[in-house]
Amino acid sequence: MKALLQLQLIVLGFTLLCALVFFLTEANREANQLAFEQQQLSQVAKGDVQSFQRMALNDKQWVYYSLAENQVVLEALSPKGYGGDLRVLVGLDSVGEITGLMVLKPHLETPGLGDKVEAGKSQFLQQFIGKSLENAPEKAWQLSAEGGAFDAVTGATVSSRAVVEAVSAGLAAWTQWLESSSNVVPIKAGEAGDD
Amino acid sequence: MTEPVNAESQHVVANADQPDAAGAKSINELSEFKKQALNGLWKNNPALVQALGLCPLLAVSNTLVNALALGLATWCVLLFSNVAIASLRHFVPVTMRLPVFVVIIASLVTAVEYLLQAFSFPLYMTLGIFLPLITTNCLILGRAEALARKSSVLQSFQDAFWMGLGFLWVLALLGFVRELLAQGTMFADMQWLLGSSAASWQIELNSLAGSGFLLAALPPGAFLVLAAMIAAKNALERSK
Repeated sequence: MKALLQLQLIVLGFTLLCALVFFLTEANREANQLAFEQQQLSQVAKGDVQSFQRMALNDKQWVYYSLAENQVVLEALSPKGYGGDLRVLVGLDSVGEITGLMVLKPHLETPGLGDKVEAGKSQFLQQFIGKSLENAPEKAWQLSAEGGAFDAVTGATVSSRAVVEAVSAGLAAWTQWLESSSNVVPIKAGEAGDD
Repeated sequence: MTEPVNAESQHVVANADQPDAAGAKSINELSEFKKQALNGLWKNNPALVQALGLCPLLAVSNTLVNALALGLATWCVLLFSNVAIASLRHFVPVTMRLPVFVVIIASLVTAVEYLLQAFSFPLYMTLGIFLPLITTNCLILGRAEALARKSSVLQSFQDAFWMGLGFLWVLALLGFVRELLAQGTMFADMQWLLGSSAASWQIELNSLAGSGFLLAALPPGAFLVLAAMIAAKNALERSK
């Protein structure tokens, strides 16, 4: 019995240690997470990133929206990246055309090959600017080798395909959300100030 | 529920209670200290000789800053776990020691993870899954099992200090070489670890930049660089 009590005390003690550190660092950790998200948003959205709020569209796609800036940024995911999930941020203007796009880190694409889909390492993401579900037919949301509109990065076909998939899945989820009548539309198309 | 001290273990020093002459004792302690340092850093180096903790060693050593961060986090966990396990050594039944050690190590890793997330967020993001995986680093459980569970707190602390440092320098050198070969940079992103003043430390070698040696960035490259380091160590010892 004594040994059992000792074990329980040890486990309790270390659990308390974890809890203590958890609560002591909570404010800092949350501030860091928020700053990190806002820093990423600022790369695809215009204006004050602090006004954006996050909302789930379904279990894989999210949207950040800002009433003040009248903008939405989609956080979209494709499970078919080279090393698993690949996530992108897609900035949209008021008519649903893509204004900015970035691949979120950390990702599991191969360094030197798959990670060329990142902004700044190739022109791949530039191909998405100005596209929307309305001005590009469904068939276009594939790689050009498969009859679509996007040229894959050489040596990074799987990663490129995952980006195309993530973006189109995000756009589809957003459109579906807008069309379902039960939802209140946070952003009204055609009322954007600067686009 | 104390366990018998393993007399054969080379780690167990002469019993401190022995009525030694003061002078002889301090010489003993000094040479023991030197022996431990030499063991951890070189002769019995956890990475080069024992080949422990290779998973994080190879996965996260793609840049110097990542390698340093993981090395420091591992060192920190090792110090605390060795001290905790040594101070609790009389209270943990031998048959139950492994689950208890794992609970202790996992709690410490969790604490370190929260601290990194709070105070060095970019590093937390880069290290990703390899931070919680420190729990499974055989180096830490290995030191607990081989030494800390049957040694004094001070001795366990010293052992963790030198073993952790031995792991850290190998990891850092590996990161430095791989970063140089793969990206052509030195000291990139050091501000993640050392504050914003270190941002200007980055040196780009124009001759290497852009034409990076891709293999060095990939896990096989890590194996090759580590192999080269082990070979160099062996060659050095043989030439003596």
